[in-house]
Amino acid sequence: MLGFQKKPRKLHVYAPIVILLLLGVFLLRGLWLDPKKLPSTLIGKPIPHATLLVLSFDGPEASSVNVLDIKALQNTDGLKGQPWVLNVFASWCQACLVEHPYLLELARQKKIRLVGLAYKDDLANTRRWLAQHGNPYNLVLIDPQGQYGIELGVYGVPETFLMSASNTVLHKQVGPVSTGYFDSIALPALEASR
Amino acid sequence: MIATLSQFALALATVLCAFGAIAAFAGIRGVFSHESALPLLKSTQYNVSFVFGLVLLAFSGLLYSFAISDFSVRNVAENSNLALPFFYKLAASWGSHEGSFLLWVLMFAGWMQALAVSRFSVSASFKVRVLATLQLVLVGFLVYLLFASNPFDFLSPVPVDGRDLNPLLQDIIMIVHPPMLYMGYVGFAVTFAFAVAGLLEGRFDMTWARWSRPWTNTAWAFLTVGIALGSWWAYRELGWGGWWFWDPVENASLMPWLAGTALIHSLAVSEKRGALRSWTLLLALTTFALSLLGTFLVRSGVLTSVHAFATDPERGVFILALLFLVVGASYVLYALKTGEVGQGADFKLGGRESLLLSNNVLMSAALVTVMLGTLYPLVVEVLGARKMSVGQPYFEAVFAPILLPALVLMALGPESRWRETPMAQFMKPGFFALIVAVLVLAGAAFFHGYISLLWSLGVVAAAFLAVSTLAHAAKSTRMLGVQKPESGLWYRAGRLGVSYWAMILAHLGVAVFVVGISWVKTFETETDAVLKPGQTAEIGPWRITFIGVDSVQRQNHVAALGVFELTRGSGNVIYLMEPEKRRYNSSEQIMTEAAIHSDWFSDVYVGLGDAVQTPGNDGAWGVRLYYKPLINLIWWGCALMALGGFITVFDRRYRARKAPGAGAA
Repeated sequence: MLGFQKKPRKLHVYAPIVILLLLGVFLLRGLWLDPKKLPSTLIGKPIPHATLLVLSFDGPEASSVNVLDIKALQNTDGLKGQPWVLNVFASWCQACLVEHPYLLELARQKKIRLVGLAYKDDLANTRRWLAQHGNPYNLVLIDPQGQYGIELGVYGVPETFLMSASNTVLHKQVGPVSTGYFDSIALPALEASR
Repeated sequence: MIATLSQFALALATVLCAFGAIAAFAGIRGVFSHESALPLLKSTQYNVSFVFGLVLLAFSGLLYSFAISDFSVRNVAENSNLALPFFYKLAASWGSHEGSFLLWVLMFAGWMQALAVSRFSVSASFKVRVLATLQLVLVGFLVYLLFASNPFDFLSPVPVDGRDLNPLLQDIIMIVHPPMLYMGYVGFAVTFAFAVAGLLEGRFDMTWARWSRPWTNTAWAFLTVGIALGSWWAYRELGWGGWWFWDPVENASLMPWLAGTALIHSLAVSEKRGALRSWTLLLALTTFALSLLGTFLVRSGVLTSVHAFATDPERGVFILALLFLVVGASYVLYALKTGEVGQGADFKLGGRESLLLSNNVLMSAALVTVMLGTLYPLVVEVLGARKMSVGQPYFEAVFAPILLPALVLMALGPESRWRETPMAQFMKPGFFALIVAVLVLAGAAFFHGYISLLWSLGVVAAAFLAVSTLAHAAKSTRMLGVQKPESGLWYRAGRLGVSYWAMILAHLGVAVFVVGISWVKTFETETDAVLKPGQTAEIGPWRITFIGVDSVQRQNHVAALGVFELTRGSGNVIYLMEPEKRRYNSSEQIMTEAAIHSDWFSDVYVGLGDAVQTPGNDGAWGVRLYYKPLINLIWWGCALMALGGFITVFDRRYRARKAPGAGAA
């Protein structure tokens, strides 16, 4: 039994070296890759389908909307059919307060349509939070159980998705957006997608 | 001043080490007799001791620089600060990339020194070759330390205060975990050097295997402790309640462990039967190669992990080049010389050799599995495909089918005889153990009112292993009594040899470990709750009442200290649990310290979340609760395995014999 024991000096004695060399090539190349960069698998793909409830500020949620229809909704002057931004936020999220003033600024300038996604949040808290800090969104969707968040691949709130007019995800930012977001990230991405 | 001296000591050690390696290799050429090698051995031993002394001096210098917070040393300024408690200051010496490499080198020199002065039976010419090989490898790492990763680099201007040690590392276990792990990694260098020397000398016989065994066992035991401590630390510190995450770096330490486990068993075959020689040699080389790969993966930042320190490609290239030189050269040597080694005795299916070989096959399969899972994402990315990760589901799905047959074979292994075992030999004890195992399962299933496939398999396999192992020990002791009825129990146990009991302990450890995993995987529960003061949550058999949260100011952090009462049953016994959420002053980093109540075997685990804003502002907090039945058996199991590895050192067979021709010094 155990035939491989019978004839030692054969080609298989070189196998370890070959494996080592192969491994080495990959490890060497791997050194120049950045393991921390985690691009969203969604980029360049259409936003996942879902019908979500819309937050109403005075009572139980009645209306719902399909995410694919958002760009067509006639609720912001001049921005109908334009690219839009989906901002995942929550009232329990400290970092969301960091980007909030900038989002309010963006909304005031009406540069792009902002849609909020209240992620794993208590609705009463969401309403109070928006009342207290101001509401930059012209539509707030709710995802209390975080199911849609899973489809979006949310792993750190806030997250900000830039959508093309055809509902394709152009860019994803994990963590708060800074004041340069629209000019230095969103605009170039929109340009490039044309 | 001290730092400069330390640096000088390192430089001197490098020169001495290089010189010693060259001199030993040159001097030993053509010398195979014991007597003619003695003078060379003497001088090599002196040289090794000098090198060890110098490296120890350098490491003490680093400890001192950290102790007095000498921020003119960059390493100290970046990894320590004035407010850091004293012991963490010392531990910060190996908290950085540079420092931990110095520790690595110190351990290496320490093993070399231990080998040089040890009384283990090794012939002089062979010992010179082993020490020469070790010195040659060490030179590479000393050069790396001096030129690419100097722990004594100066910083100007000198900052007033340092940056701080990563809060994740400010933990008592973290002080012990890296040294243990490195002791294991580096310990395999000795086995590696034995294999290289064996190939050089064309000497690979049963004596060779006997020489290697105690060193391999000790290194393996250290590695076991290191991995277990790392797992325990992650469990207590990361606040996720998990104990093994299949993180690339955990896998990096698991790979040499698996190879080392295989090596221990194939060395047994090589020592007792002279078989599997070529394979054993390759394993010995590969185990250290995997230790180096582990070091590379951790230190180069090539994979994403909690352990990734520097993402500096230059350094990565340096370590990779070292890995290649050391491992590549040894593999070339193997390819050229293994033909001379020969295979040794043949054997039949069912003999102990074939059972030990099947251990090797299973361990290698496990090794390849882990390696694939760990490196696959990297390979895919290098080939230009998208980012991906391989996680728990993959590893668990492929590991269980490998582990289960290994447990059965382990249980039967001790019953087998060398060459050939009559089937009847396995039948009786196997049948007995199987019946007991099934009874144990029935009892456990009745107690829990639960049954599932994987859990049942785990319970039966673990019980089967434990019963077989204990029964074998009892039988062996009894059999000796038949030969010598007047002999006492201790005498008989002693006659069986330390290594035998080591094997029994280690195998029992595996059974205990498997019980732990089976229970935790099956019966652990977790809950997230928002509790107001006075409210109670239930987890497992426990009730946890939230009292409140205090703010506590400590030396280098502010902690939100949650206070919980833990009771069960009628509530006569109350334990206090105080999980914390800390904010470290210098880095602003937030750390959770879970509170764990442990009753030897099972744990209740409370992690403090965030304060929850509620309408009444009534001080509600989010908490995460875990109940982990029998989780501590996982670590007790590892402890038993490691204990088994350690005590083999006391086996008399490995000592130098008084007869001339072996064991000078």
